[in-house]
Amino acid sequence: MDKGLVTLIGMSIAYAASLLGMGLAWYSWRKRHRGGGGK
Amino acid sequence: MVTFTPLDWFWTAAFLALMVGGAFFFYRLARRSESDFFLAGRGLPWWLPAFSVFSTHTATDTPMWIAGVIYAHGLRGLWYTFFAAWTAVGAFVAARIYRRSLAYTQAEWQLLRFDGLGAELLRGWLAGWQVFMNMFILGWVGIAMGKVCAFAFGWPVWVGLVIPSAITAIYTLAAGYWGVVMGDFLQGIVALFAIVLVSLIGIAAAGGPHGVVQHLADLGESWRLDPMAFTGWASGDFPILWWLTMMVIAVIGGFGMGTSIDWYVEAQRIQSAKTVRDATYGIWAGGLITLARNAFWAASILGFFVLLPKITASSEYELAWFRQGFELQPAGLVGVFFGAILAIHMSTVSSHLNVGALYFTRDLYQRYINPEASERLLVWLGRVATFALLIGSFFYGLMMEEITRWLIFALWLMMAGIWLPNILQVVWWRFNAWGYLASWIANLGISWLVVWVLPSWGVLPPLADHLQFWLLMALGAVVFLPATLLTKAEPMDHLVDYYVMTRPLGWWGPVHREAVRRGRIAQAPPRAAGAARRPLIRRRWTAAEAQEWTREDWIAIVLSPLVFAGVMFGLTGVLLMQTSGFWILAAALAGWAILYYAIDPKLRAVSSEYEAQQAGYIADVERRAGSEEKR
Repeated sequence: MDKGLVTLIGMSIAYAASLLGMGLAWYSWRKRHRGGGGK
Repeated sequence: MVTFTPLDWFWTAAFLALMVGGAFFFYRLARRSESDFFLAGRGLPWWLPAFSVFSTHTATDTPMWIAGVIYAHGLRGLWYTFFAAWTAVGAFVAARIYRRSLAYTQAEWQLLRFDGLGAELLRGWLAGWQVFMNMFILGWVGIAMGKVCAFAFGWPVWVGLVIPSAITAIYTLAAGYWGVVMGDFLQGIVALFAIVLVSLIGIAAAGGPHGVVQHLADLGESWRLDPMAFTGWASGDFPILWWLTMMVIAVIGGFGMGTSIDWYVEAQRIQSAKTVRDATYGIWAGGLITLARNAFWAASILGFFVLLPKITASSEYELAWFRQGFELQPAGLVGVFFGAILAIHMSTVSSHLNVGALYFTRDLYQRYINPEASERLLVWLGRVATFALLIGSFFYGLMMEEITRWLIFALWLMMAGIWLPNILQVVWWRFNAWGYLASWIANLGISWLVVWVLPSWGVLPPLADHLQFWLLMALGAVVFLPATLLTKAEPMDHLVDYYVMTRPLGWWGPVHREAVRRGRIAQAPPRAAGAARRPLIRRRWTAAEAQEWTREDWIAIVLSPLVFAGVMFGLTGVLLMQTSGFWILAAALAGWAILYYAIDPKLRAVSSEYEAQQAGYIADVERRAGSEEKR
């Protein structure tokens, strides 16, 4: 397999996981602030 | 293929029973709370985290890559392993600051250091990254174990990948971090015993220390005994610029958090220590044992080289230490050796299973999905996450069999763009969440462009590793510095809270002055006229005085990496009976004594003052662990 493609796959998985975590944080933040309970 | 006698199987089974049974013993402690399952109740003496650091960073693939660099480069190859020296400075800077924050994870620390939406996004980002990274690391050490078992017994690779990791998961799942750290201690002793024994046998097989040195001279390869055998400033396969870059990355990196991929596991060991002093010594001693281990491997691999100097395939000479263990030892000891291989594998797997589960449980589930979760539910979920990580690692391991090398390379390069931000978040008050988040996100595109896209288009020539590092760092700064300076500083209330709790090193002047103005900390009184002159090394400290960063801290920070290098190279020289080795080791031990004399009274004062306030801080951290609404 081409090493550039392999690296792209590896990096993309790592960043997809990070983006997923960040998305969860964003969703949670919005939910808290819509409810008016956050700071 | 290795021939196992019944005696060998007995020893392997006995070691397995000791290591797994010893870890299981702590099952009842682990189920008490989330703090017990993931931090052993924050009550460990320094030597347990120290052994855990050493055991965790001694994996099945470690002797392979160390054998690889020593066989290819001689003793100068030891500098490749000096990355572990970030703990030399990290123990006295980052560990002290991080331990005082009481954050369970580096992701949670983001909410203590930064504030608002940016901090929240950072926490989610790092949590996702760490769940992936730990699964990835589990896959890569698992496949290394699969290859060792295939070499030794001819088993299919998946057998070595699945079975040892599954056995490890059983006690990790049951006994959590208590099982991990107690298992690491037992496994560390077994591993250290085997490393010393096999290495000495390997040196003896090559004619003893003098025989190794003489054979190298006969082969015209005496340069392999010189750790500073450079090939030029920028040319050859060991240029001075590469060495300087590596020293900066490792040593200066110790001022930051996350500058090494190992930081995230170490962070858990730092928080599990019972005091700031125990955290410092735990990380410091763990790093030192790791580098002393490298000395034994290096000397024995030189012995392997003089016996078989013409191997050209790296896949063959990387197995040098395993060949010494399996081929040179008598029946019975081969079983002990395989027990030790299981030990180094299990200690790494258990640690990464527990750390990955910690980020999932604490930072994703408890924070974002179910903030009201009970302690019982969190412990149960920690076990489910451990199991899920194990299964994920099997898929990763099988998928990565042929791509691991490139993935590791890619992930290392990706760290270049965030190396400086990892330091700035610790030492510069003005650095903010948006700057740090920008550096993480930009790093993907920048490293992709510099390493692959621009060279393939002919816009940029393929660069040496050290040049790539500096270029990636500079391009990252072009993104994160404007992002920091064009957005607001973190609120001063938040910064003062953080500063008072952790007392960080670096450029914190405005926050320090504000904390003094608010009466949160005492201003150090000016020295009275006629007062006794300050001794060169001060040994008596009040709690308030010990909070300041002083000459004694800098003595430790400067001496520590020198001691690390001296122990590693001095011990290697002693094993090869080189006169210079004895002198270097003696100098390193003298430096160690001065370091301890200078820093220990201060660490004791810092610890006693901080422990007095810790209960209140922990209550606050736990209150903030779930939702903001709980405040």
